[in-house]
Amino acid sequence: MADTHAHGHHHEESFISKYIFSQDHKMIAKQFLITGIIWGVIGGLMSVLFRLQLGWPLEKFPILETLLGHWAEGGQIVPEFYYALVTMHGTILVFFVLTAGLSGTFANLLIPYQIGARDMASPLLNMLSFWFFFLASAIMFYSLFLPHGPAAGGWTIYPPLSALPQAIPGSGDGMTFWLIAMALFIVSSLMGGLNYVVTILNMRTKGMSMTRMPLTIWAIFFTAIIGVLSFPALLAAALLLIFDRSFGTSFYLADIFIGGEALPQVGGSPILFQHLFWFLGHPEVYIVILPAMGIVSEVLSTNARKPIFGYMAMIYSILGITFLSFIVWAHHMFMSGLNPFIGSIFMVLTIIIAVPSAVKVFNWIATIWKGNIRFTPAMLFAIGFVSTFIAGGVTGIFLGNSTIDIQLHDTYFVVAHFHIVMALSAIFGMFAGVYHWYPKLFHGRMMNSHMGYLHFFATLLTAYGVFWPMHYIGMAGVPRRYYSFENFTTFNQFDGLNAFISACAIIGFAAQFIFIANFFLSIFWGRKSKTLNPWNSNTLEWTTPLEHFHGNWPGEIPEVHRWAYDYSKPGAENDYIPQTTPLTEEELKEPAHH
Amino acid sequence: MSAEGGITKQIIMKTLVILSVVTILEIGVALIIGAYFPTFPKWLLNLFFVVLSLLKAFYITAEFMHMKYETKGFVFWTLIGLVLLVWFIIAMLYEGNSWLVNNSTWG
Amino acid sequence: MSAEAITQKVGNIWGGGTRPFNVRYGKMMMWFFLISDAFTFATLLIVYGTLRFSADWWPEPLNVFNTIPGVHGNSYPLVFVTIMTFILIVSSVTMVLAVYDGHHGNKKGVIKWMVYTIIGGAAFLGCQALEWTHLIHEGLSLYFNPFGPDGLVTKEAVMAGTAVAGPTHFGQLFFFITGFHGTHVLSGVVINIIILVNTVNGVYEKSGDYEMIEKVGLYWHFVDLVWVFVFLLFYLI
Repeated sequence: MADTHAHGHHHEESFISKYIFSQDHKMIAKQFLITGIIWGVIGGLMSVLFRLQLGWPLEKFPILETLLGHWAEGGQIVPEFYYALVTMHGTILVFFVLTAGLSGTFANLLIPYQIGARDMASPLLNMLSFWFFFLASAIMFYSLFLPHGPAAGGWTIYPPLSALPQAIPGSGDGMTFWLIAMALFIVSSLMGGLNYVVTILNMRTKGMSMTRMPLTIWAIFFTAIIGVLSFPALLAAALLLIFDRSFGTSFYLADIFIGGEALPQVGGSPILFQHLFWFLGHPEVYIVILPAMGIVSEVLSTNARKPIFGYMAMIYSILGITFLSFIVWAHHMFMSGLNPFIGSIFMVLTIIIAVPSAVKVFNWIATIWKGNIRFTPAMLFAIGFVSTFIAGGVTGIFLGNSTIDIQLHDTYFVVAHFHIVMALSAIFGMFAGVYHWYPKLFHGRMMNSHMGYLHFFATLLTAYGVFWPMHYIGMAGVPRRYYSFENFTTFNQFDGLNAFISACAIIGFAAQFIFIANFFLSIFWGRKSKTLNPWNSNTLEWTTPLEHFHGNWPGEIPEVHRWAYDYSKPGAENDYIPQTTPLTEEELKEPAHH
Repeated sequence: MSAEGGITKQIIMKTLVILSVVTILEIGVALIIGAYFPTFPKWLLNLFFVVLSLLKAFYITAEFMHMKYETKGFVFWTLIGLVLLVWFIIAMLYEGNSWLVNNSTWG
Repeated sequence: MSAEAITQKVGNIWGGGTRPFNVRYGKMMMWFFLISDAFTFATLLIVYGTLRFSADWWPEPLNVFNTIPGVHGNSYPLVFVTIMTFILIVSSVTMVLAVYDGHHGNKKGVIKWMVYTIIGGAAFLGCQALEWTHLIHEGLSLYFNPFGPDGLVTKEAVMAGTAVAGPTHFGQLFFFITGFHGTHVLSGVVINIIILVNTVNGVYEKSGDYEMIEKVGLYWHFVDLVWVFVFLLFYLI
């Protein structure tokens, strides 16, 4: 017997147990999503603020002083605040939006629904996972209002800036709060990840073999594994960092002079921290991108009315990416003084990642090739994902070469690369997922598709408007993380381009409010879907009633008879065959479907 | 229940004996080589200790942690992740050594 | 061959509606948690290895761990740590016996062996406290390592330039990693006490399911397993 909970009966729940300390996977998914959206707005707003500085460095905006006080004296953002902004923008978007917001939402929503389970293996741990995340969020949010500001040494918290509380204003309390918040975040991610893995292994309904699972579940499965195996490295690194900060050890510190005085710490190495950080940090980018890949596979296949091309190849490429993600971390460190010999090994391993990534890209294109495509907002975002993943992935091959990286390291080329391939793609995947599964989240209500189209095209154009020019600036050598380029006359020629980038960023940020309005208004006034299955999809979640209750299916959990991608099957009555439909006599005689 | 059967008190005691003997062997070799053969190649001695420690780890995992009595699939899919540590260890030790070389070459 | 036939051929274990590994979710979660925790320890031990490889000299374990607290003289290399290792191994054995009795529904046996396990854990922690106290007494701290190339030195002699201290990383890593391991032992003891109380109260007898003993047992053995490698890296190599 599988680990099922004997649910499926209705009983009245109090407000607190239904909406706040809920153990139901659907409610937890909504909690993650809404917290993620709030963080997205905060993180996006930060990027608007620092783009104001980069786009118009000499301009004064008196409104900023009114809003931010001493952080924007005279209407101009001060350097300390600029560094705090870029640091928190990175931290918030990478961890709080694209890790917890994306994985937390879709793993919780889709795992029990799509594998046919009543809930997660441990609903209690699932609830705790959200609340640890919420606690981490609250602490990180509070750190924004500390007298000396939040952490400001970059989201990668490299020592010595992070290891010496006296180094810069953000290195004091801001850094301490950052570390506490991230420790709680790691606990949350561990509890979530363990739950996802065992649920997928143990609680699939009858007939749901591993190779009949939708690719969303495969992607989330490997994402969870990556999280469980890579976050410990950050935990260990952060513990050692806390010792360096608070107890005067020297794991990461050597030969530091402050005000002409040498610190007693000797013998450590800041590069050691970089290794440990990137042993998490590199897998982390796959934690961000894999769920988006899974969502996109599902959305493309459903809306192209075609089976996913190369289902097994998709699974093997996710497996390949998972493995490779753990052995390439030092490609972030080619310029750190890394041993060049080992650097070249990391270079070769890094470039091998292009193989499974390309397999996935070609499979997506082959999936929609000659498909009967329905351009829903979800589909547009999925296609947009394929575009950004290619555009950003190609520059990854440049940067993976240690020799070319000497020129491009820490320039805007890198910023453009990882924003397109990781941030934009993952955000596009997240949008695709929200538009697609919105009826499942909110009782059959649909989001307005006209607003969806507007949102998509505004986002796509402004996103490329921001990051395309950054490639050119980066190739010309403009370094990232600089507050101002006024002292570099060679870079003055890019002032106009920088202003253009900033304008695109501001319009792009504003365009997200179309989505937010659409999201919250549709909860109450969205069009009700006429059927349970508005997209004519094959997967199990569309067989559940619109009304949410703990247990998902009122009666028995349906049995699964086929894979999730029987779209437009020749000879079939409809262009989709739900997974619950038994195989016909003819189908049983056919060779294996996948 | 997967844990039914399998391990017996006899096997538990046998494992205790093996772990004790291996530990005593490690200590004994460390003491004897340290006292009487200071020129014995250090890398060979260390390799010996690593092998014996892995042997102890094997017995703890297989018998005490019951892995010998689980399905093969479970053992494989649980422990396969540890493979990722191999390159982590090699790369980091190589790096550490190259810092030493750099420091002693360039000061 | 149809997909249906394939599923039938592999005996349906992966076909859904069943546990493919025949392991319940709680125990599987514990295992995956331990793998995760193993990565934390592995990272710390890799830090140790990296810093040791980058140091031009490292103290010989035989010259550092050469005393038994409370016994005079410096001629007992590795004896005390051997005692600690045995305490941990034996407490692992008593834990296995508790799990064994749990599977046979023998409440009295479980209680007896759990008590022994807790005593073993506490004894190990006590020994560690003694060892730490002794080393601190000898001058080892996060900031100073008295085990230099020319034997035990004092901070004053090093300050005066008449002696050479050992690498400070030795003490930092020793206290950090054995401390982190000790924290695991401590939490293991606490968890064991909670489980013991539950057993005494008949929680598992009522549910007829002693798997919880097995889960905490896995954690306890893991702590023993980590000690094998801490022992290897700090005391042998």
